[in-house]
Amino acid sequence: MSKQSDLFKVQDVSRENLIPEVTDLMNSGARLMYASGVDRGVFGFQLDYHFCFDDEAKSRYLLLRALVKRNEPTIPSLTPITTQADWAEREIIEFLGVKVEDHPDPRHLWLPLNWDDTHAKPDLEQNPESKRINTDSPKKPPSDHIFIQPLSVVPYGPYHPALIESNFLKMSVEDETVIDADLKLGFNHRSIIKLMERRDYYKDIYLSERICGFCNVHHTLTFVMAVENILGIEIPQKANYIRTLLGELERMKSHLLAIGLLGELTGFKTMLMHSLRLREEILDSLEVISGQRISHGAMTLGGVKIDITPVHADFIRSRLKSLKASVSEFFEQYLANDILIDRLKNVGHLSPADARTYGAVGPLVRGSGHPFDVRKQFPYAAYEDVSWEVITENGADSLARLKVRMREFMVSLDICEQCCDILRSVPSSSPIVSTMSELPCGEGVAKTEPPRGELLYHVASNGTNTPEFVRLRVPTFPNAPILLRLIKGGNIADVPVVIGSIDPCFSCTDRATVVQANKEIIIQKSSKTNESGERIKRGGK
Amino acid sequence: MDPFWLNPIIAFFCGIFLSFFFRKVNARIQGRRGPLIIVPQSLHDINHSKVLQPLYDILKLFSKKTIIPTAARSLFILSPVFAFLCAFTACFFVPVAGIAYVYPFSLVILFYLLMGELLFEIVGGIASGSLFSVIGGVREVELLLANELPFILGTFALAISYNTLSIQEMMGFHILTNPFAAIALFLAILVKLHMKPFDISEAESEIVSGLTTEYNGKLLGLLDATKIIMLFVLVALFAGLFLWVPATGLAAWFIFLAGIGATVLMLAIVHSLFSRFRIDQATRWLLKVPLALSIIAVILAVVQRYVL
Repeated sequence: MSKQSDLFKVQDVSRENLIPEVTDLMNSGARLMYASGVDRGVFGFQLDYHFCFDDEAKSRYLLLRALVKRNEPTIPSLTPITTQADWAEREIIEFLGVKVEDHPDPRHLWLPLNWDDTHAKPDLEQNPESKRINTDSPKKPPSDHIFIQPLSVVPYGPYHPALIESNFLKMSVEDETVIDADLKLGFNHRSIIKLMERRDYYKDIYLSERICGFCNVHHTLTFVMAVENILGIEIPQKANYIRTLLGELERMKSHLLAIGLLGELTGFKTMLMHSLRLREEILDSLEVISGQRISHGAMTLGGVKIDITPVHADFIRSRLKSLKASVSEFFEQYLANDILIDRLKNVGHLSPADARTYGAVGPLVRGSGHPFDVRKQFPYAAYEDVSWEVITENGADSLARLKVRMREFMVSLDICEQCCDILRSVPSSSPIVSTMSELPCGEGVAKTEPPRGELLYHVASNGTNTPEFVRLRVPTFPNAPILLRLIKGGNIADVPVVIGSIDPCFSCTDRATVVQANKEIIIQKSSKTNESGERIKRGGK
Repeated sequence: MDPFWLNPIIAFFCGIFLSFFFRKVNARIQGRRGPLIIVPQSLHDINHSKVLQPLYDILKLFSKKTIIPTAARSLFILSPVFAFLCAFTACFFVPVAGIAYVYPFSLVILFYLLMGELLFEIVGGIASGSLFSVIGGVREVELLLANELPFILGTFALAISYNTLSIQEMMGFHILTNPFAAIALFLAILVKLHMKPFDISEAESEIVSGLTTEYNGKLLGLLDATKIIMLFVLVALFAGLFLWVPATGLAAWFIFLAGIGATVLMLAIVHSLFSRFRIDQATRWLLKVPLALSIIAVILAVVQRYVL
């Protein structure tokens, strides 16, 4: 079985060579997944550009690493080459203070847009006693006006009935046609990554579980896999099957809700209610496995914590059997409603070429006809040992994305049944956790395919019990800028449809970023001294 | 002398039962079964259906403070009152178990009152100064324009058959004699009551709640009461024109209640089995199917009356 760490490669690049190097990579079919920055103290800022190659059967993972000096933190922008770098670079500007030159839109992504007006920059070099944060009342009241145009501007959030999560979508509208749109995030920011750097690896698993309610299995799985890649250990095969089973149950759970929600956004509440009714079968199965319906705490380093006995497997199997019949009937009824189909057809059209250019992931890119799936191309858990196919649709509109979700649901059901059959035959004495060794210095990446697309974790270890840094990118991060492109030029009534067909998870996106990069790494014995050490240092300044 | 002056009171309370029935059918179709748990005796009440829940909703709103937006004009306050008065007056002209104010042109009066109710709702929404209300208002006007033609033609088919404009004189079981008019009027009622394929003007996921976005407290309670009376008026109109068998006394009441019950059942089924049209799709469809049906209904009525 090939491992994810075999496909991973780090390559150093100088500041000057970055642009030509990235241009070459993009021309050879690479996709910029993410750009993350780490404050390495006296060494400067370490900027990591994560690339993958979707066209290859097993997609390579290339990490370009540039180091910029601390006293001259500038890096050329990649956004003119590829728009996939847009949001990631805005994040780097915001959190690290690295000046990204020639970025076309260097506004705040997470902080309020007039943050710079309300908070004066500290003038530490001239006056070390100056305040870091201006506590005076702001010169201008904080505002979130994304743009002002001589058109009526329709706000869509922070609290809007169409979206349960808080985000702020503003659209300028002319006679129900959306002319321009922009998105403001950051309402749920909890800087979980920073918290992860202060806790040990076992506690981080639970933190990563709290990033998203829908894909908590995948978040924990990806974090655990990244750490296991540093360790280089083998996972027991039974644990791999249990991971696959849990992941697929979660995909079914999420897809069914997304399908129902798309109905609700077009006014078809009956379908939402029935999807929730069917979802209970999956939640019951999960509850039998772990004792909890939403978050399971199932993953641990080197395997899983929860064993699946033949009794469990039989129970899940029987639930899945009844689900199979009722869900196919549900999908049939769903697609038989021609008013709903009219609402979805040709709405939010994302051509296959655009899907590549903008770097879409998940059902969004598969709905445009590209068979890109992390489970196939960058295999993990037991996906190589079960038989399944990547689902694609050629419609490239909201209907195609809906159909991708429906067919993926059936594929997931099939995978679950295969896993259950195998788990039933495995002897109950077989191990589910492998023995752990000491964690070496090093770094590891892991990628999985949650329901919404590609999830990426990058963990570095410095030999202590806490990670040196954790960076993660959730699937909504590349998909949300595409959302803005799709709603532009459309009808205002189609906006919820497009949002529903992309199925974004803004809370995920919000929590998954770092507020402040880590400072000099001081080796601490425990997190308590870490906190007090921080306090002393801040007090000194 | 018929006690037609009782009609608004009957309308309000009957409307509450109809509204409850509508919700109940909706919930059953959507598979919402309520808590199927065993609860202690003191909490036993929560497992029961509340028949008067629509009334409680209105009473709750009337017990709340009303907040008037600063951008709102005085029509914001006046419009719900006028809309309520229109619905209230319309009750006199709709036959409740055969009883209504006897007037030879009651059908025309009813048209104006029903349209007036909607217009006041639009005016009040737009006067609130909310952007969502304005979008909802524009959509409502478009629907009104597309819908009024099939509504009027559908009822005029019966007027031609009977050579009268009094609703009382054209009542009967006409769903058999002129089914096209029945379907056209049924579709028009769906639009007028903002039910599912046509709840475009208050589409929750798109424009919060359209015209009533800024309304709250007592004004919203008044609008909800208007809505309940409107539900009764339109359902009673449909039942009277198409599902009525001439009778008197208790038999008349029985037939009337069966008629409005059947109509609400149909409305609820349609409401829960369709998703929402986009506004351009809705106007195109309304100017295609119901208009064609209503024209066929008029031709049928003319043929029945003058040729046969």
